[in-house]
Amino acid sequence: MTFGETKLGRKKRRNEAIAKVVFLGMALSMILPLVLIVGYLFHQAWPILSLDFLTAMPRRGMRDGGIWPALLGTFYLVTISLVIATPIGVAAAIYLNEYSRDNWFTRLIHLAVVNLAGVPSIVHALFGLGAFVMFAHLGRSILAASLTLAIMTLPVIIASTKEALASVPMAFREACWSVGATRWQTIRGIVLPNSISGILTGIILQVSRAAGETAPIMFTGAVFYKAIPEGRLFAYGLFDQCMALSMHLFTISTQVPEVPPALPFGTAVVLVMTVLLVNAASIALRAWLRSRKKW
Amino acid sequence: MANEPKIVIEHFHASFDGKPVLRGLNLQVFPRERLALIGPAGGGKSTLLRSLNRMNDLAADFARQGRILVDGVDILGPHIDIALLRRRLGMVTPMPNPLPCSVEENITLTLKMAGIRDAHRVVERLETGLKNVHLWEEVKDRLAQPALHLNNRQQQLLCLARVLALEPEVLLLDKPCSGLDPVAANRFEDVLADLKSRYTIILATNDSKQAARASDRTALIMAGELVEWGSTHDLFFNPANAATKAYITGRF
Repeated sequence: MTFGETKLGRKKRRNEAIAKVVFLGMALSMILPLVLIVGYLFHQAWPILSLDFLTAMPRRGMRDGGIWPALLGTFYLVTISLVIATPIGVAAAIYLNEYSRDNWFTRLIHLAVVNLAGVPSIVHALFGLGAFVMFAHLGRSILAASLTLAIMTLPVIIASTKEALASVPMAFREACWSVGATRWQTIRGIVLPNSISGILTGIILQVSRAAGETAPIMFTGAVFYKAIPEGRLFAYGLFDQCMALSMHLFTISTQVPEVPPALPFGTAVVLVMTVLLVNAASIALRAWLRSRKKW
Repeated sequence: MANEPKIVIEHFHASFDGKPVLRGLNLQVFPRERLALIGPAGGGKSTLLRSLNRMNDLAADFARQGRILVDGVDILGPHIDIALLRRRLGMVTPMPNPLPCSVEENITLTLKMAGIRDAHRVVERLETGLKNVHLWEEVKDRLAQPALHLNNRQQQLLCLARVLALEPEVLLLDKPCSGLDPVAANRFEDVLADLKSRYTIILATNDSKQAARASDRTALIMAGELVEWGSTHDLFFNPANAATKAYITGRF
């Protein structure tokens, strides 16, 4: 019996090395574009970046000044849409994962959720225009746009919440039931505390989606330009129209002639950094909640 | 032994996905006696226990027929408060299933969900519950630690303490020692010996010797049917049925 390397062994070792390099390369190729994009954006936007850029109104027909109304508008749209979508989405996911049994009716709901998640945002925009702006007489407003964004994010929130709930082992639920807990007591006492990190992550990831989409809001509430008092937080009302970062970026990049290039790049930096900051916050939150987990 | 049975099981049939597991079982359990259920794995012992606290009802493909009376009330009927039933008939499962919270919370959360919120009573029951299972001295300084960090024996005893804290009348012990090493299993049996004559205990076990040690009466269940039922002494030393003799001598 010898343990020297055979021909087959050498071949396996070589394949192993190649496979590792290929997979590593693929993984790195995911990081590279992100670094390049963010680096390029910062480089181009550098001359204009300042606190004043964030809090000033656009001036000279949007060829100068800041992005305050767009930043505030995006904040309003994202916050209100998540305030609407989160309770509905979480409750629906709780029903689907904790209460419903597998039958044709729940399978139909699953099918609807999956298909809604795949509907293009421009279709959501048309739906929002018809349902909220026209049928519900909300007009083109922050409320109508937020509702449209809520409809768009809802299926994804349902799916991610459901997945988080399903990751709580069944044995924990049975342990609860066997000592006489009701379903709701079990959900509140055991299931939600142990899935809250996953639920929150799923919701927070939708912040970036809601902030980034242009189509759903451009028919339902976002406008090219809206004058509001600089630096005031409660400058918009629910039934006002508003500006938004994504829309503003589209406007000054394509609709306004002779805009200095630093301006759209500065807007893009704010949009990207907002998204990255929110994602980083969600990672930190998840790490903190995980550290408190008792299993 | 009192004459009025605590639990009466009448013509009880149970099936999963159409496959029968229990076939017309009749059995009685008397107050404060210790009944051991023995028999080959898959014979229906667990199904019977899980029918008594209606945990089987959670399985979508479960079907049943017949009656189970506890103190003369058919617990399979409508208008039964299942939460209350599960607190009165406390269950310990084959593998320890502590909740993913601290040792202390495993009992206090259970009590809270049962509507016992008075802080004084909760603390009192926490301590007596753990003392009843000989666990208090071991864990009194680590009540805030995760229950899932305890060893297997401690976890299983904690699960028993959690059930005892609810002050049940019947204990349904479903092969409670199957995940324990022999030494730990012995210590679990010591606890059971202390609980004897305070509760009605139904102990399903794959270990005939455990049944011989820890029961007053034994029922042998095979393929969903009751083969023999009688005092543990008679069943082990003077079995009436050839199949019983074969099973307890390990030749089945």
